[in-house]
Amino acid sequence: MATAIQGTMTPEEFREITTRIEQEVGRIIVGQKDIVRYVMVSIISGGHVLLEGVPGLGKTALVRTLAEVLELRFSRIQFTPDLMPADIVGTNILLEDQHGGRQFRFQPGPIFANLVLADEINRATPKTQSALLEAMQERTVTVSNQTYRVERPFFVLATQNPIDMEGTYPLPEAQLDRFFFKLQVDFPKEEELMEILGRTTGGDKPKLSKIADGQKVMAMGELARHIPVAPHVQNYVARIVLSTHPDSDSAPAFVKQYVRFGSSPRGAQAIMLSSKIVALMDGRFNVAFEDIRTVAHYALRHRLILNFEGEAEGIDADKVIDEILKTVPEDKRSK
Amino acid sequence: MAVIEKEQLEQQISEKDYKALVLRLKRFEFRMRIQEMVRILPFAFLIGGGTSLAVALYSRVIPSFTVEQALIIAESTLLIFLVSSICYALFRPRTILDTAKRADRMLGLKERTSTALEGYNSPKKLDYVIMGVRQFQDAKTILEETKLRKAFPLRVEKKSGLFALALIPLLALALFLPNSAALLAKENEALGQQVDKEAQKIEGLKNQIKEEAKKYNLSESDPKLQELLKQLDTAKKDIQDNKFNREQTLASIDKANQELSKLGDTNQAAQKAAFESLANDLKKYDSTRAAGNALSQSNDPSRFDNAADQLQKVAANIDKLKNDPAQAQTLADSLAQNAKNFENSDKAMADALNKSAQQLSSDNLKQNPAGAQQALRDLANQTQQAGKNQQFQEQLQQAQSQLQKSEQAISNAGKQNQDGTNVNSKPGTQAQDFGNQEDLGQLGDSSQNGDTSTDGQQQASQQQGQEQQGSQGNQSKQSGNGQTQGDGQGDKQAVGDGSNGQGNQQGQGQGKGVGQDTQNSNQGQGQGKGAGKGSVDNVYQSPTKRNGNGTQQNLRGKNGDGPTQSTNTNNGGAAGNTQVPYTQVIEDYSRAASEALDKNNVPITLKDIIKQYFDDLNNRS
Repeated sequence: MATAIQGTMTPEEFREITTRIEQEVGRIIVGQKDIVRYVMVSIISGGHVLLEGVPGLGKTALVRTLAEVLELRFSRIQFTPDLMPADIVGTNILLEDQHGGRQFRFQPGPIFANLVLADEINRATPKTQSALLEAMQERTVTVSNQTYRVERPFFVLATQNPIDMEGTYPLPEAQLDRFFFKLQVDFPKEEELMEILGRTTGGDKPKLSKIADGQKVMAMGELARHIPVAPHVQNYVARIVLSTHPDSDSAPAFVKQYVRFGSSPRGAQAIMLSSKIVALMDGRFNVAFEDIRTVAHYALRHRLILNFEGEAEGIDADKVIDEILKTVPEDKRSK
Repeated sequence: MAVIEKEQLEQQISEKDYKALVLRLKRFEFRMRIQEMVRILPFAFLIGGGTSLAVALYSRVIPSFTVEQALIIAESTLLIFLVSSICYALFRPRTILDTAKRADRMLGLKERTSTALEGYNSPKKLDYVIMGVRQFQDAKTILEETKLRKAFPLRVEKKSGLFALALIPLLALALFLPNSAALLAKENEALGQQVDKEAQKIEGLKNQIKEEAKKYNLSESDPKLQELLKQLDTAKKDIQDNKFNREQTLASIDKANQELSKLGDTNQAAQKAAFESLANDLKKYDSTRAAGNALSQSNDPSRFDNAADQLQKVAANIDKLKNDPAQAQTLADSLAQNAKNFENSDKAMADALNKSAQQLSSDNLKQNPAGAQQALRDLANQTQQAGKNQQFQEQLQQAQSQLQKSEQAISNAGKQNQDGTNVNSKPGTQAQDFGNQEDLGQLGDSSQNGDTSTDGQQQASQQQGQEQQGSQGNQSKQSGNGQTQGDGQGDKQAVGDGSNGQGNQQGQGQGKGVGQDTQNSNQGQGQGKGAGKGSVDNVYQSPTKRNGNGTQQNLRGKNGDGPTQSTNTNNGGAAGNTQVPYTQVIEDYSRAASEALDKNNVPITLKDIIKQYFDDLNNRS
């Protein structure tokens, strides 16, 4: 009996869409090509992204542009200390009908969108931050014992400011783990900055084309999941993630010295899935070691918890990941 | 919208496609192996050559290897490393998947081929059913498009190649530049080989002694025999333990020789001569002729047993003597006379002879033939006993002789003369060797019948040699090659009588040589006279210095008539050669020695000894 796999996307179509999205977003966002690419990878994979960068680097503009190009519903939540969970997920409100009857009706919050921008997420209280947890992981929201499913595709893009940390609530590890990628937005270079000035202070506002819709994005994700991965490549991912654990035998000395907790299996999943998407975007039909090395930083940097010594010596997670990539051989049985 | 069926996928990736992919990979594999071989060969050469260079340099500093050995080591090391690296590159086992991974890595194929192979073989595991066809075709296409020669160029890395090339002249210099340590090593090697050879000889001799002891009823538990075997064992072990140390080896042999000397009977030579005299006398009488003949068989180790048997027979047939009183009386007198010969060397034998002489005298024989019979039996037993002693002494002599030969051989082993030839193999010197030490010793023994031991002239040979030496062609040159050739003959005679022992031995040697000075390309020929060198030292020997064993002792002469003994050696040359008087030889040799002493070729410490030696010879002549 034939096994039918329903597919809605060919690899060529996949590549064409991603290329066009990058081009279209590039009309608004100057530079930041990696950020654009890996935010797109996250969206295709159905994951969430934590963007870290100083204000004014175009984080909000990027998400807004992507929403527009992908024809997705967009909402933005500005996280502040007084933001309440209900402000995110929504609440039941009392309504009176024409006959004088009263009933509660659920008023969805801004979480009910395809693309949610959680701006400066670390400024809200943990209670409010955790309101995002269920929606991010389960794609459902529960209010007054009533569960509501959020619309697919659902993508949360949270930002946080690495400076001005006073009065902020750093995200708990459990919540951090729910982010597919953590991307760091760097300050634009000189040419890029000049281009930004030219685009944003002129009179012309480019009109964006809609490249894809939610269905296509989900089909792209589905297609990417079928990219074959050779066992030795998969093994490389496993060994990398195991090496982030200081208790592991395969952990390099650097990890043992500076890391308190390593990545969860979600880190390995993120690497694998994003590598598949990257391979397809690259026009290949299989995952390469190179793909894994490319996405390892984005998928692991927020999943490593440094110990006191690491913090004190100013070691950052990226440096630890660099060491791991240097130490772990691609193929342990290579001849 | 594409609907992809698994069965369709399986049909699209046919086995033929898979085999084509594998075949292509195998070609890659072969090319990769060749490339790897070309890449690692210079390194193998560097490692092998470096090791060889180290060995060559080591052998230049420490006398460990000869040039030939260093060359063999260098060649072997190089060969081993080169062959190993070729084998490693060409024959190291590698699966097709390993090849695919290697190709992915070397050509930057981003795991296309390894994924294709794994996917084809385990489609479910890799979820290969959806994207499998595309992935497989992608891998196949990229492999087909890859040009083998371009992808795997056969190029030697410049740096390692240059280093390897630079190593060749270095290695050649280290191996072939003149090397004194290598010469020394060669000498050591020759020494070691000689020591092994001598050790084998000693072992052979030991076994021979054991066999002879059994054969001639010598008790193996005899302490003297045990000591002899022990000393031979010790000597063999010691020289083998110190096989590369000439001094210690020679010292070991010396020590063994000294120990053996203690076992030696100082009267053995006199006893031997007395037996010979007895044998001659016994031969004169009908009744004892058989015993005399048996006893005179000097080459028959069982001669004493045979003689004893014959004497037993004489005892058994005592009636014959009884019926011939004149013969009995003459025999008795002769035995009494012979008893005197044994007085100093074998008292028991002298007593037995005296007793026999007494019992055989006419009166006693008539009255008491049984006493004469018993006396003869006692004499037979005593002869047998003395034979055993003689037998042991002969074995001891053999052992000492072997040790001396070994000492000499080891002393000369590997030594180079100025011409670079081995001392032992110099042809001209061999021709000048007349006689041997054993002959000298036996001749020396005859002097005991003279008034004094010095009366017996026992110079074993007279030598006259002429040498043409290369250095004589042009003596101002610093170095020269000389070749000497020579032939010679020798003749020895020794005669002794009761009062004065006389010995006369003559020998002659001739040497010819052509010399060439290689340094200045000059050739010169010359003639000179001088003492030839022989591989056997002590050609001239004072009778006061050595006995028949060659060991040092002072012999005492004896007043009265002594038997005449004459020995002709067989090492003479063809008849018709010139015989030169002894006095002339001494003169020539003395002159040659004086010239040598004047030229400072002889160490100062030895000059006086040499001068004294020739002065003594001159005085005697």
